[in-house]
Amino acid sequence: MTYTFNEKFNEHVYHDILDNGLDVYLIPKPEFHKTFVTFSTNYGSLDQSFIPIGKNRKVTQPAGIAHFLEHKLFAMPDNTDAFEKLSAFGVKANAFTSFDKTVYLFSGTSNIEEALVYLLDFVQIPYFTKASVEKEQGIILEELLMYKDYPSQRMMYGILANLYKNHPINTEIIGTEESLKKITHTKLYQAYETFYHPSNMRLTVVGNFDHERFYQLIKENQDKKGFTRSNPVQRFLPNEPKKIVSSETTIEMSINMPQVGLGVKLDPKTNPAERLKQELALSLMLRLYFSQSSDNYQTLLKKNLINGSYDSAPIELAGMLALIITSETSNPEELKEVLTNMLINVKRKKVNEEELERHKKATLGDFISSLNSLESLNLGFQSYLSYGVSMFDMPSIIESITSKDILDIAKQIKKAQITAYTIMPKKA
Amino acid sequence: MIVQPTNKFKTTIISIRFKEKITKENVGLRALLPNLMSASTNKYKTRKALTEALEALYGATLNVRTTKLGLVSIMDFSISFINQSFTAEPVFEEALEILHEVVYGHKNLPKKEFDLEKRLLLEKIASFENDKTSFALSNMIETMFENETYAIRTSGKKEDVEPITFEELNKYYKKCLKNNEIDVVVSGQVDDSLLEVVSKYFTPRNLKNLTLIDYEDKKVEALKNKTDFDTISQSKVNIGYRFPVRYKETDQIPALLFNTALGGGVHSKLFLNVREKHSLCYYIASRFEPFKGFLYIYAGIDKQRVDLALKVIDEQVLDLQTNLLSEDELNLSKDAIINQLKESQDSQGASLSSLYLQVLLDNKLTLDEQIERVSKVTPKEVLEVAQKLQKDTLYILAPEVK
Repeated sequence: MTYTFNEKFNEHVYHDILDNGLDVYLIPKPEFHKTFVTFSTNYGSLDQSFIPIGKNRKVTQPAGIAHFLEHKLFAMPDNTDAFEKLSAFGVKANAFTSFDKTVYLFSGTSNIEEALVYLLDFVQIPYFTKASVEKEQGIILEELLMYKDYPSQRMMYGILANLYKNHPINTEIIGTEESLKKITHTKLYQAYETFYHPSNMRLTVVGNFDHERFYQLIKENQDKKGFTRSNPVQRFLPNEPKKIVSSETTIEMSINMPQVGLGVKLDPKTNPAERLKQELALSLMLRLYFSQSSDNYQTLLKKNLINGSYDSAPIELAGMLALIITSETSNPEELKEVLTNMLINVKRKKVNEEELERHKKATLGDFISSLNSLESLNLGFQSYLSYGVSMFDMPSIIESITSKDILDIAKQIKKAQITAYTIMPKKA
Repeated sequence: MIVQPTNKFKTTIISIRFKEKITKENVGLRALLPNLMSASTNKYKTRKALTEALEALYGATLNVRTTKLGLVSIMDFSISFINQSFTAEPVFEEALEILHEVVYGHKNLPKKEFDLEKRLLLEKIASFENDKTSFALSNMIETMFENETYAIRTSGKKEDVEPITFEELNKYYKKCLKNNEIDVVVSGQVDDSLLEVVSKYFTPRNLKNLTLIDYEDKKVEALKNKTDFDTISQSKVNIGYRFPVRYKETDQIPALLFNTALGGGVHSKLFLNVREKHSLCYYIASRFEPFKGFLYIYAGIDKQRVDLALKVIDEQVLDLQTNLLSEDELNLSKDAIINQLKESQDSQGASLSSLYLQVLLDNKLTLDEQIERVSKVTPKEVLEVAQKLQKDTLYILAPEVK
């Protein structure tokens, strides 16, 4: 184990890569009651094309399989439910699937050691049968239908589908009604064996625990399971044209007020550290020109074009970079026009250095506030690692963003890269 | 002053809370007032200027909202900012100064912002209906508690807000400054000298004449049954029960355990049977509201299978009303609650809310005392309290029939 202490943030970090490749981070926080444990695989909804472990031919799997696998992993061979068993330790268990990760987690204040061992065991015992896969299709279809009732979900995925022709971000994490039907237990095993190899996984523990004891428990548990270290999984993203798919979509839903979302497709970098900087530069650009203190925002508000639901955010993942601005509005046509012009005009503005400094301060403050919770410390720590940087380097990385970085992104915003997605109230 | 000194968190929270009895007449005013107070002040003449001041304080967050605890409406003005150990320059008094401006920095409220804030609130109220899960729940509450104070929606309804004039609101602002009870709440790395600085800006006003717990109750004559239709794909089923158990009563903790065993998490009867065994839904849970003596179940259910789901739900309720839980089963619920109690101490917001509630109920308990109360509940006590549950209202928001 290697040990680092970050004085400024007062955090102690122990790290090791086990013989089987499992990446282990232990961050003790004795002043807290609970411990928050995550067992994550570097595998999300985007990872549909890959070379299965031990094979040499690429396969492409149905959308939604990562999330489906997450659901099914709780079913154990002896017909018990891992969720119930974990909960029986008195801990709160959960799991989620994102675009690039699947995370199994629990937090609790007692029986943490037993729960940790059980977490390692149940995730490492796959059990998929034809019948159980069919039953799960019913549950997941209900989940899919539930999300379909949420305008914000429809909006986000609608914009991404309008921007991306081939990149799998154009499809819901949960999959589609059609893709769900194509999932079989054989495909689940293929994905499992490839992506749930310890060399593709990380265990992160934050909270009130004895790190020496935990390290021993983890190591013993893993050593006896006979995994040998494996090479990184080779995965493929389809080529994505620069052009967007569609510049305009309007749908109807049961809502009271129209909603408009604008999405802009931008050029992503490939080097992970540069990707992180680019995302930060984009989020600073959005703060400068589209946050509550910006002139644009004040104008939109005074023109009665937006309301409290207004939001702007970057989306960054391997092979894609986009920005999304959404709001309810009583005047969708005018909002689309005005906001499009505002977006295109950003590149003509000279960055005000004083304002940039203020927004960097606010970004730093948000980052530090996020360390308050064990959950965001744990998950944040991992997400910065996926860019190859330590979380504690964030203050200096934020500081390093220049007005040139911001202009580089602003220059990419062209009318042809913008899509508009509108949800209109369904007429009764 | 209510103070939670702690070194655990990287932020400090200062919150000023204006309290008054909730009424049909003040609900709209109290929903709109905090928004207009935080639009601009004597010193920060525009909302842009105010936002910039917060950004310069390392992205301090100003939160204004109106909530309720039982019968009391609370306008909460709070500011949260990172501790001075992380900042190059002092931030504590600067944050207090901004918060003071928002609360007291108005000779009159900013008239030029009135129409805008009113529009924003009305649109927020309208958009509330877009979240079908909470929309269905609040429809159930209105059906069940017709003509009771509990049905008043703190966020205000269109008809509460629409008629408000600037003059009326401005007058009400001055009245609140004069008459409302005021709590000053602080959490974070604070010492006596910093608390003295807080006292320079804010003074609590405690009259202790507000009643929190809502004892208004009605007998269930017959089940109220209502269905509305909407363009959704899944039925939102909400069942309201009269459950006459309230804060500080002897069976409050058994009632809490009953709720947890019924629908408070993944070990619960509803989760295991309705979701896992019969795959009838994606979510199902129950909540207990000890300010009112009210319990409800909410679930999203496949539209074809609502009848079966209702049957299974009734069976589970009846099971808890007729059969003793085993010690092991009850322990699952106890562990869940104890875990929750401890975990809440790890969140600055949650621990502060729980401290605040205890102060208001005049019932301060240490963590160990709270755990003790939960641990000693017996299966028999849970069974006894379960029998107080009476189904009052079934409300379904259903997909439109085409």
